[in-house]
Amino acid sequence: MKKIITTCLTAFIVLTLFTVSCKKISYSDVGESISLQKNLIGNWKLDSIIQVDQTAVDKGFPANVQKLNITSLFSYNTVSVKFTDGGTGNAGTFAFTNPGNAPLFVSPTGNFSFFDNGGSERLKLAGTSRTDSIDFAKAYRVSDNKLALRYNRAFFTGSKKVFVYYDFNFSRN
Amino acid sequence: MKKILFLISTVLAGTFSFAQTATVSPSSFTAEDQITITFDLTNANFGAPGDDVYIWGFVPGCCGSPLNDQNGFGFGNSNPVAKCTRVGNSKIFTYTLTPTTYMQKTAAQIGAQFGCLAKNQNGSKQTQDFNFPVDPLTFTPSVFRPFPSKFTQDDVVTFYMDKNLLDASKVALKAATDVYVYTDIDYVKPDGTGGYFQVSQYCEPLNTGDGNFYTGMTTVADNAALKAKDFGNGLFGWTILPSKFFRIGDPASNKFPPAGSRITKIKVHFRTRLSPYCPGTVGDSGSLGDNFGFPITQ
Repeated sequence: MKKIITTCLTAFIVLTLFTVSCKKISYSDVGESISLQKNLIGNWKLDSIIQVDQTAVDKGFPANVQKLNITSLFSYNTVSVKFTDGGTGNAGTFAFTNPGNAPLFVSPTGNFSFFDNGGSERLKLAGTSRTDSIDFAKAYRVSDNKLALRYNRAFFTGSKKVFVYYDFNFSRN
Repeated sequence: MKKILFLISTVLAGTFSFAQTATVSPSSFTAEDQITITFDLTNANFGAPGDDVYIWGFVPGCCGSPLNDQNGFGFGNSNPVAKCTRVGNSKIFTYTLTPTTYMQKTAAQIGAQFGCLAKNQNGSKQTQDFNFPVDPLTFTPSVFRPFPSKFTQDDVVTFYMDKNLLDASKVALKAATDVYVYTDIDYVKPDGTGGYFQVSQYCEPLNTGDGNFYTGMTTVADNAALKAKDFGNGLFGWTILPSKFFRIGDPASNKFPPAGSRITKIKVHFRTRLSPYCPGTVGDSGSLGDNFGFPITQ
């Protein structure tokens, strides 16, 4: 009798486990993928530019001396940029519109291309008189309608450490 | 049971040393200060003459120094650069380091503690961990301050004046609600010779032959280019991109620094609206000059 009860109980437990474990688990959708290349293409309006003192950040100084929103200090609210795909998805042309001559640090027009030097994806902006390497301050999906680019200023010799950078925050035009 | 306990305690004694001490000098330090750590292994079972001692440093809860275990080295094979210096023939050892350099981390990344231990070369013997508190780097507010702290002549720079920290004798400036500047630079021309250039608001015509550039105002008037912004709470700031503001390479006037010039010093003098140089105006006793240092040239 004991054996029968034990066998039935075991069978019941196994059956229950089987039923529960075979229940389909539904996962939420992975969602839209992030593609820096796809997101870059289009017309963008500059919303804000934040200047950051990396030295103050490294020293752990108070937040109010680490960064400064310089958007209103120059005519940044009239700045826009257009990135046009050259056909490969990885390169093309760019053109800034900057009627107020706000400091942009890079060439106003030229060719862009993506590259990585063993690290994260970077953007090369090559104009007639200068070429700059730009970082993506944040990775957005196309549907976010946002673009965040970072211009770094580093020591040219020695440590080549970044001591100040500018975060350009755009929204789609 | 007794035999087991005896065996365990013997093994532990062979691995760890007891009653060692470590001190740091200076006792209060920031992550950017050079410190000397002294290990006293007098009562330890390693560190006898001929037995080298090495430091193993780390940030508690984070990570070890790159010196610990890069380039093929590790706890079982200490890096020669981690070797401590013996004091005479004693079992006291010292090691000098600067935490940010030693850890290859910033002060903010190092945080509030720096830890270390002493060990023999192959790691079979070691001390306990020693943790030392790290003082935060202190930001000291000052009357005049540039932002950012390091900049080139092609960067946006804001020169701040904090009215709250002005000397009490600067009555006019402390009371001013409109604050202006005049500014001058030292620069080096492409041929290596030096130059000086001043931009100010003056009550004289533009074409004066004294080498300074005046903003062309012939009466005491507000000049937006030389007006500081009120950032609130007594903080005023004047923002420029130096190479553009000082018109380096601008052919419109031979007073401007020639193309390729490198600014070596920027002075920004905060002042009240009124100028002592214009006839019939109140003298400005609150104007101050300050050298904001040297732009970094790349």
